[in-house]
Amino acid sequence: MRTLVVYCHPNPNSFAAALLDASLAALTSAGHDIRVTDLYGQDFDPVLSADEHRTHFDHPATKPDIARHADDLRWCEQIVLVYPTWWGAQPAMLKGWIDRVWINGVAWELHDGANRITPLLRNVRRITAVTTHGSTKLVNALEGEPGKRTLTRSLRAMCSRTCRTRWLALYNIDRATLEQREQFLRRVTAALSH
Amino acid sequence: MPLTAATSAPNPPAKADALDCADRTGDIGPATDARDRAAHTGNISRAGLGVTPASHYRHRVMHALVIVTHPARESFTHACADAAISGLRRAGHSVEVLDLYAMGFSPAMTEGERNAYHSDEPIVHPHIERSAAAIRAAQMLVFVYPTWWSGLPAMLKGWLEKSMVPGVAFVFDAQGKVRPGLQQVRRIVGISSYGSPRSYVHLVNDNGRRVLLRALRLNTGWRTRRTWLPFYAIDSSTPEQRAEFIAAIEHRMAAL
Repeated sequence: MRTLVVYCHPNPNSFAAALLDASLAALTSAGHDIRVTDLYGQDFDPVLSADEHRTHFDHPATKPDIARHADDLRWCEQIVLVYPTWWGAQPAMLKGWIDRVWINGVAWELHDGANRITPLLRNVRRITAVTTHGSTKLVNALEGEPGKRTLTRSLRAMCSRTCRTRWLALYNIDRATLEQREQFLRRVTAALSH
Repeated sequence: MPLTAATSAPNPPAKADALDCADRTGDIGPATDARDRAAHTGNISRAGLGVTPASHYRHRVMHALVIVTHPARESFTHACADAAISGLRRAGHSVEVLDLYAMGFSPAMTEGERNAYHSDEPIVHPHIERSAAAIRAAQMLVFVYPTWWSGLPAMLKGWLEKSMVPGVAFVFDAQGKVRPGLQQVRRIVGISSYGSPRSYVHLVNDNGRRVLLRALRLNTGWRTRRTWLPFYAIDSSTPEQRAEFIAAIEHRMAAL
């Protein structure tokens, strides 16, 4: 499948970087066509500006900053997000990519007179999250899993009607052993290898 | 165009807080009339309450930190923030305001900040120093923002990540477990606009609310109270409804 990998972590020596390497290796071995967006690597600006807010309903062609990102979204059949979960949800950098790129004319459109939006990313058939949580699964359940639901509900609603979501998460990483981390890397590799 | 600039002179209805409709697939039905809509969205209203003098309220006076997130000063979000601040002041609370866009806050956690996170000195920027001091002094945290993609705008999410660091919001104990650090916070308030109606917001899990009222709440004391003041379906709202909500915010914040 045409696969867009979005990676978000400031530190090149982080466990998230190891997860990215494992993911790319597995996706390559499975023969997928891959594009990678490294948000920190390309110094993406996550702040939606006053200007962008004002021109939100303008055609995306008038917004060169996000043209490449929009093109990637329209191109892909699968989105793989690799990031750490902070405060229960996506880091600001990744949330900013969603805020600024999943816009009118790219992810959805609102027809005149309509009061519900029309999803535009029907090409996306699968969303996979590869993430780590400092807290345990129990704590995340108590918090209501905001990060997970943002992907599996809010974003998924813009994609194919039959879009499937996969949630690959290592919980309690603050206290995880090396063995547990390696095990998770193997799990990610296995899940993305087919 | 974004929304109303002031309570007294709401702008004509427009494509409202445009981004909010990003997750609006919930159907509120065509040609819904205003009455049905009000029942449907479940927005609070002032219900004819007049201005109440501060002496009327019997409560402990608190120091409130109001965190405002919206790129446009003339937005509905800022109008809500202004009303909340005036309500808090009327009830005798002291108020400190952080306007993240006006500060030029940079929300993306940098490599240096990430590396310092687990050190003894996790605060490396004057903005964070200011925010951390404000958080430590606050007995009430008030978040005013538009909900985008069912969550916090990146700006506000980044502020949480960078300001609520170890030593401010929580501490790691000897076993590496997180222990609450916001014991002084007695109340968390969220005021947010949504493009979607309430039914759809619930369907997608109201993720921003969960981050503030659950994830952040876990780091306060057990008795910390939570107040959520949502304005749903803003794209199809009328100027009167928005003005009424803003008036209701002022009243609710004065009566906390």
